[in-house]
Amino acid sequence: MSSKEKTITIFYGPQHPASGHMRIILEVDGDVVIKADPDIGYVHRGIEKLAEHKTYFQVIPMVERQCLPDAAHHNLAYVLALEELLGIEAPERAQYLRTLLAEINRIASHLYGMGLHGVSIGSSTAYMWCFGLREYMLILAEKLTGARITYSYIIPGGVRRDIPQGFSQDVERYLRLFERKMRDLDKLFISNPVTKARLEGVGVLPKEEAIKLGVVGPVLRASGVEYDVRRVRPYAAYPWIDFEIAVKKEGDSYARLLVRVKEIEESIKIIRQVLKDLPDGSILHERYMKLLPPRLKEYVTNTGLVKFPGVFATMKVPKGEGIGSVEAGRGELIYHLISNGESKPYRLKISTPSFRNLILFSHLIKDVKVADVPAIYLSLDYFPPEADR
Amino acid sequence: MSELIDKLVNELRSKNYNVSREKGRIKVKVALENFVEVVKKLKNMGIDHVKSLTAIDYPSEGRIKVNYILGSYSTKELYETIIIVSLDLSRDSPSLPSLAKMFPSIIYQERECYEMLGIEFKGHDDLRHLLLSSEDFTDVHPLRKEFKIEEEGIMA
Amino acid sequence: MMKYIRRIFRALVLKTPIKRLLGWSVAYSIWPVHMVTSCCGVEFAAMADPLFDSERTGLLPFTSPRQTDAIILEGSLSRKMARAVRLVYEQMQEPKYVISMGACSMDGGVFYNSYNLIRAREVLPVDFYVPGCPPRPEGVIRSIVLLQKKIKEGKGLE
Repeated sequence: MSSKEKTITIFYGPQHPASGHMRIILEVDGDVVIKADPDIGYVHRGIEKLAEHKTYFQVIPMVERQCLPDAAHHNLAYVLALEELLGIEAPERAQYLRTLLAEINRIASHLYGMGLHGVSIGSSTAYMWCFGLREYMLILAEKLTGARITYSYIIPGGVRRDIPQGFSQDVERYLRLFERKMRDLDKLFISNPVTKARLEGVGVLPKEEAIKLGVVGPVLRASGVEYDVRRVRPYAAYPWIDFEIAVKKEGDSYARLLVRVKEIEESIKIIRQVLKDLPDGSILHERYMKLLPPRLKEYVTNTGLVKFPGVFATMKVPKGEGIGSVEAGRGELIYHLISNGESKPYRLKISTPSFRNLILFSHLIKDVKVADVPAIYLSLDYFPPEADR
Repeated sequence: MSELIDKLVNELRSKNYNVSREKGRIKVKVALENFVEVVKKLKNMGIDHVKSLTAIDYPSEGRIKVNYILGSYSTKELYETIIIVSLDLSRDSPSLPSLAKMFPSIIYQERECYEMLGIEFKGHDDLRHLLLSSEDFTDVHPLRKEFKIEEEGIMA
Repeated sequence: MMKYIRRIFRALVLKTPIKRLLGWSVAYSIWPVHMVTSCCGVEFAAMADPLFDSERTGLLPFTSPRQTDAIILEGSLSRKMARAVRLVYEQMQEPKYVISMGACSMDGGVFYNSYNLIRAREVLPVDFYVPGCPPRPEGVIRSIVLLQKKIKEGKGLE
């Protein structure tokens, strides 16, 4: 007698209130999930192929639109790879300003993930509060760079704009308001007994499995491995700033949430240190400043807005390869750029943190109930356009 | 650089593999025959995951170059190194042994490399399309240089 | 018999002040489907937050496609996603409207000439286009207000 087929296949598809732009194919027996298989590629736009047909400078806005909540880190990693090929290093004031934008963006990215996680568990108050706090950070970024989300602030040789007058006092005022509201958010959502009951003990990832599967970011640090690219291979202004790394040992969804909250507090400390220790100097490298005519050079030093030299449009880069590695909001990001001596890249390979965490879908979503699937999947902070490129 | 990394480099050099060290990275260039043995030796020294798998197409020289970028999470002295293993394949029917049993972190990267460039990985149980839809893109490999995209000229 | 009833109904409703009542009730509660197509979805999510409140215009994203009025396409449509969007659009009931956000659904945007993108107008009949990359949330709210004006005048209710 052959056994009857008991399992049902469910498409947890792109049209779903808690799914995002991807599909998970679940095999369900009653209320228990037996197997989960991710089906991605709904946002694949072909960035790696398109980068071979654009000049080096035109790739910068295209690469930023992979992960919109976290655009400054993609910008920074590409420019670090390009500067390694050109053989230059940005001046010190520019390194500090790059760190400032990167940390503001890290806070905004973590709040985005926490807001979506809250609304899928059932707390739409958490969604409204987290997104409202995120708007404070976007207002600060708009004062610094001129745009809300897609900045294009970091260029090869330095940054594009200096800080405006009165910026430090504005930042201090906003940060004090932000810290007061974070304490209220803590009582409302993070230490709430309903949240703890839903998230503790769900989707546990032990330390040996995390090492074997090669995961990155807060998921790795919540399982006990103390690996952060800002400490291990420092870049920008991180060698001169001190901060702590957030590590937890349990490895469940609640630990991942707490790691993100601790990282937000550390980022606030870093922003205060950067604004206190900001050195003087120019914001663009000498090699490009001396190509400007003297009237424009005076304009740049007086107002702090950079005018691009004409060589950026047809820059020919020497032959070789460059690697830029950065700790983005979701994990470790690696850009591998290979050049052939012409004015367009020969090959650009991007290894994003969301793509490296993809293996956890088929590994963690096993023998759990169907109602636990959003609690696990949104605690990994998976962003589909970043994984699909 | 610590002594563990020096020991690794010296052991690889003693077997006459082509090892070079620049800007804090270690690069190893191997041929197809001794590829699996080098990877096994690296695994015994503490390397435990693959960060990225790249393949580059050189049609004028008739070869495809494959790069594996490896790292380590378990040994603290090896956190900062990046090890790059590279090898060359011929362009007509490229195929490689799959490392999915040794390093589970490479499963989805091999699937993507297969559909973008047509490299076949022998021993991988589940080689199918990941990002591209299988109705429009069977046997079409977008990252090869003969797949052309329309370009408009820049009006100077 | 049914044909005559239908003809009388159409003459009564669509040519009298009842049409204005119908337009008023549809316009102030447009509910879009929960479908996010690409990266402009970040600004769609930000439109619902306390600073740019989109619920004051009556907008509330709803889960089932059979009980919603509009579909908002954000960003680029790839081939796989276009099939899913067409399936969802055919399940919705009349009257239904389409708003297309961003430069990517018009002609490709930054990803012009990509091998995997389709223009939005080849798949669905679009009512309004919102320019920007990504458009500011105030821009999307303005397009909803213009859609409300179009519905109150009675276009698109047959």
